[in-house]
Amino acid sequence: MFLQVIGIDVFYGNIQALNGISFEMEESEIISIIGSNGVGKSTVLKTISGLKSAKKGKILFSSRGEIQRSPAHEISAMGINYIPEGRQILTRLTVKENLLMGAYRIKDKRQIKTGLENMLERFPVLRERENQLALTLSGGEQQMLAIARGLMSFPTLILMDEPSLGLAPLLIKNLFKLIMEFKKEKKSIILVEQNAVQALRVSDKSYVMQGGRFILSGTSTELMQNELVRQAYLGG
Amino acid sequence: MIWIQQLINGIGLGSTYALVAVGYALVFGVLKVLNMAHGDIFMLGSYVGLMTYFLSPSNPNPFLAVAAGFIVSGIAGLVMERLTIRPVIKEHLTPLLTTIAVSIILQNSVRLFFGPIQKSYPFEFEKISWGTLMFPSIVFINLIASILIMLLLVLFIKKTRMGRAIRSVSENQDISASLGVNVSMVMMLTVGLASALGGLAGVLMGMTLGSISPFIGINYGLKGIIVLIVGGTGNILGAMIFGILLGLIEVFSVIVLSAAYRDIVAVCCLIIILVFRPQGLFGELGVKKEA
Repeated sequence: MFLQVIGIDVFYGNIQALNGISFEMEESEIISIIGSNGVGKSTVLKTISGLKSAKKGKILFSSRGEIQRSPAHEISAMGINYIPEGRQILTRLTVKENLLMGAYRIKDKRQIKTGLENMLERFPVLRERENQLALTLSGGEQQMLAIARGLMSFPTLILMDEPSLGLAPLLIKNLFKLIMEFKKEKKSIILVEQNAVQALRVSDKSYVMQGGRFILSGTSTELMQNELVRQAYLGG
Repeated sequence: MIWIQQLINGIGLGSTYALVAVGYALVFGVLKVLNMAHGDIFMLGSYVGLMTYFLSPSNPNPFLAVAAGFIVSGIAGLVMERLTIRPVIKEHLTPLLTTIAVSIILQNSVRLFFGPIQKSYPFEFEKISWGTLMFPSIVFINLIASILIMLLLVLFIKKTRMGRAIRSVSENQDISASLGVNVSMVMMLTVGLASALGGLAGVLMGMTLGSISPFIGINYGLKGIIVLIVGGTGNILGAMIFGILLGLIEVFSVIVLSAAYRDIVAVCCLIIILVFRPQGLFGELGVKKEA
């Protein structure tokens, strides 16, 4: 089993954000977690990536065993990359420097150079703005940069936190086209999204979240036909 | 001709201020802490340099003095970060208090060990004549060394992987961690580097001005904080530029006004900047982001 999350409880102070979260994932699967604002979807990704620690429960990753106590930089070294909510690129660094930071844990200079070239090929807009401060990029470009940065270290598992948030409809279309390309490339992704329609379309399995728990799960096709899901998240 | 002499003195003084201020800027930028003990780490470095003289008084080695000041102050910085800053860094104002405690401990330890009276820095340097002026060579050495060090630091921050990591951590710790940066190691190394630079500046200052005391940390520390704020709090380039500027301003104010007004000039700059441009010369206006 590629990733196993078992009975995770997470608290912010005294408030319980996650309650008994459990799921499993195979390699090269795309899993999506959908639900409305504030139910705890981001917290799931933050906990897996090590930015939040769980009070209870286990996370087992591939050959690494239990990782729920590992700090964020160690989890990044295992190949799990977190692409955060709200882009959160490093605004005071240039586009190129952001990408280089994405490759921070890679020691081989040639690998870094190749990776950089690949990203600039794939996202020509970034090549145009290579030496500009990341601050000057538009919202869609920043999202592209955040994703490109997340790919720089050849991750084994990609955690995408609400990538479509705040993007114009055309850019959202392009974003999910990109995720479909990732699917063809057999990348392993956990996608957290408020945009349920698109999320279900690109993912294999899906989990519906409410109040810190998973209330429904199944293949995305199943969920697309589920009455409850259609009413609540797909616009009836 | 007195102008040229004072210009050189001014840049020399300014480069000490610049190096001290850079130390504050590094620590504030990365840890968001104002290190109240930084001036005394500077002072500590100067005393370490002095001690190396007595290892071989017949054949003193100024390079050894500078290196010793750099290393010992650097180590003091690492220890200080681990013991007095890291444990309380989550509390907003507590690091301010703990570093004040370190400052008091350093000042009084040195005072008890070496005595409260000024000690002279016995390193001797040959005199260089330049036109009608005579300078001890240390004045030029101080100037060139300081500027070289600042150049190296800028290159380090802008071009190296570690320099990028430092800039990344000072902007966003969580993102840096999720990119694989060991944030607490970067914090410790930053304080170590800032302190090492302070110690080095202390030795250079001692050799240039000829005397030190356990309390020079107060004056240079305060000037350093002023330069930090006026340059743009946390901005390394701003600290360097205004540090040198302040040295020039102080030296020329002594000529134009009198020596009595020397320290007032720095405070006046601070007040003017806070009123008209609080973010400092090179700083950014910002709202504090809470996690």
